[in-house]
Amino acid sequence: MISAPIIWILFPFLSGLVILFGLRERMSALAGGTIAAVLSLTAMVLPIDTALLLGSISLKIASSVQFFGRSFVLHTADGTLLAMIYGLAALWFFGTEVSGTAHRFVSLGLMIVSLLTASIAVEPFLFAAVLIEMAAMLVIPLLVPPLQKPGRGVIRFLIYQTLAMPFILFSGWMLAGVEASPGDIGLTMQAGTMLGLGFAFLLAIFPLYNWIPMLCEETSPYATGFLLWALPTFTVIFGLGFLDRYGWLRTSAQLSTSIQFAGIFMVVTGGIFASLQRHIGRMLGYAAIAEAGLLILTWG
Amino acid sequence: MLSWFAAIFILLASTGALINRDWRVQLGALAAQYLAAFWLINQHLPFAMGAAKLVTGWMVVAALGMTRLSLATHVDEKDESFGTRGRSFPIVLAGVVALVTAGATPRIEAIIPGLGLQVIAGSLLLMGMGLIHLGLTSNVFHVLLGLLTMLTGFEIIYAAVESSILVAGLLALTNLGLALVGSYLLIADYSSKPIFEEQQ
Repeated sequence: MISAPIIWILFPFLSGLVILFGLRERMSALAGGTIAAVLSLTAMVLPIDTALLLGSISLKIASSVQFFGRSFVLHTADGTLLAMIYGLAALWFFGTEVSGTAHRFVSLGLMIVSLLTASIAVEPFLFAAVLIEMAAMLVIPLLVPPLQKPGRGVIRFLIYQTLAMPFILFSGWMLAGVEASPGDIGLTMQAGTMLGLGFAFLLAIFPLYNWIPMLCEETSPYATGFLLWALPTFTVIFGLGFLDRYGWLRTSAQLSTSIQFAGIFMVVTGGIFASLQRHIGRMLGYAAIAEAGLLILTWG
Repeated sequence: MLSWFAAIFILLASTGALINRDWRVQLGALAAQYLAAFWLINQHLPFAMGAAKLVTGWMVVAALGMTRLSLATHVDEKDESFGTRGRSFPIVLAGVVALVTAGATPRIEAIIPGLGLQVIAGSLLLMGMGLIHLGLTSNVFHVLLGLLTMLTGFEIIYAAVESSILVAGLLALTNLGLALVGSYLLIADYSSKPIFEEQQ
């Protein structure tokens, strides 16, 4: 019996390391793309936590693995999500053949996707903030090639992602207190504010999105595109975990209004600022902000 | 009583790191911060976990120190440093952080009883000083110092409410990762600048 977290978290992470230190540029795109595609197909075909009979052999992928007293769990329902994530990652990795950055991109990309997958599997789920931060740190070498001066966008990205983690971890602890005493309005407000700030940093919600156009101007559009696909996708899944776990958050009218307002503001400002740009990278950045605004709007 | 010394030590070390322009002094102050943080963390976590955090912190300092040592002196290092704007402004900001800490510590203790005034004061001081570092400059080295200082402050207060080994391990990995990413960015940053001879 093998565990799902070993297949979809540990294996791609180790594969990324092997590609980084063991493979040449030419083979990297093919190897990384194939690994991601196989993982996607496996997630689609093999159900988690269900026994399959192959002749006389019984095959079962266990859903969880224990690590330092905590669990990493991938449920049967996560199969479709895993198939989509690794399928899209495979497209990004095969595409590096053309972009000419295959070696660094594929190896780091596999590690980033595996860490982000770990973020949706870890329990308690709020520890995902640390895993997202670790993935964000792995993005840095992807954005800044060796011996190239890092721009201000990269520095701001690192700062904002790092600032998000303490807010979310501490808000998670406070939310547990809110559950214990739901009538405490003060504590509820404090927990909600901390959580909101954490996600504002993570998802680059207005006015904390100024690193996106800077990054799009300074770095490879392919690497930035991958970043703007991967991080918001997993952050949104992480955020949905909060809404799923804390029912009062889901039903809060104020939270819903705030999220809708933030989403609309991002769509509008992203669109207006994009129309004022002359640099196509910055235009792409503001377009990504507007799209993130739509994503946030669907939350509300 | 010793915990109050740790909090005062944090104030002195973080202010020293803020106003001094020599990277060696700044890294020494960071190492001192980790030592004081270790003392405060031990109020709530077992000694072994606190010691692991201390060793990780000193590994971070060693990694950054070795990287910085391998880089030659560059002409615009001093220009980007906030030291050239005078030391009075960072000292005023450090004073503001100290005042805010003095005001906020009893309130936080009232909201979350049991943390300990010294632990809250030490944590707030480090988080505040870290944010000042981040706000004053975009120099890679100072940004890293700011992030590491801020994270140390957070770890002190979070250790009081969460004792999971996995979280402690992940936070240690985050610190080490920041040091490695910082070393990478420092090398990338300095390799793109003109090189001058060491003046000593």
